[in-house]
Amino acid sequence: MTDSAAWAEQRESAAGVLRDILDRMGVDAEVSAFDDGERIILDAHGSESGLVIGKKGSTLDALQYLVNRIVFKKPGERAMVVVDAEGYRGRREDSLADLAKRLAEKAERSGRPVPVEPMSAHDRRIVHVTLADHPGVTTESEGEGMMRRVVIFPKAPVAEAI
Amino acid sequence: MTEGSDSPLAGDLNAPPLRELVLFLARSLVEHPDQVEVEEIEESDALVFELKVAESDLGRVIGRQGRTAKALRTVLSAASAKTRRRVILEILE
Repeated sequence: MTDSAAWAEQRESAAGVLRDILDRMGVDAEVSAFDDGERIILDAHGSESGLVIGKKGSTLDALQYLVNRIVFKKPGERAMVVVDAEGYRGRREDSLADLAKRLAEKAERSGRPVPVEPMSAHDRRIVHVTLADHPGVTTESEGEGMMRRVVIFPKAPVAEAI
Repeated sequence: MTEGSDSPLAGDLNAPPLRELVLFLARSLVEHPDQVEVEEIEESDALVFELKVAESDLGRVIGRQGRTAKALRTVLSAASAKTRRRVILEILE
């Protein structure tokens, strides 16, 4: 169980880094830290969580990236801190999964490919994973950089309806 | 360094100076924190921060494909929403 002591130490140092950053951003927020044995999850909560989240979670993503760069500096260390605010990431995953299912239904019904709006690699992954076992559609990412998006293809295009 | 609370440009009086944020992030990312310098330049339409680090640390503040620099700018602009000023981060090479 020497592992759990190392985990606790890393968890606290990651939480400390995020608190220090938020403090200097002038954001009034508390940070709670927990881990699931694989990842460290830092959740910022307080009246200003909107500022911490940013547009479509862009500020959360930037904070997460920086905290990982700072905490896991040594070569070979793997980034494993997730930065969240008031459970936003979980809520966004749920709503992305709902959107994916709705658009899959549309692709099946129309027999035509349905493009999803361009989104981050993380969000595209949620769409792919949600529809991985869907009987009626397949998914592929298309486009480059900021315009990269998931396209949902019907498996068996229906014969052209009159 | 700070102009005091009567400056019309001060924005949110409770917000700490953004220079501290840039300094903290840069010092935390690099291998030679003692060589981190941040110059703050007031321009009419924006506040510019010029960041200088040891040559061997440049990659640590820029990152692969500029990812670290982009994250720094995103966090800085989120923080600047409180000061209501446009903020620009320049990394000197």
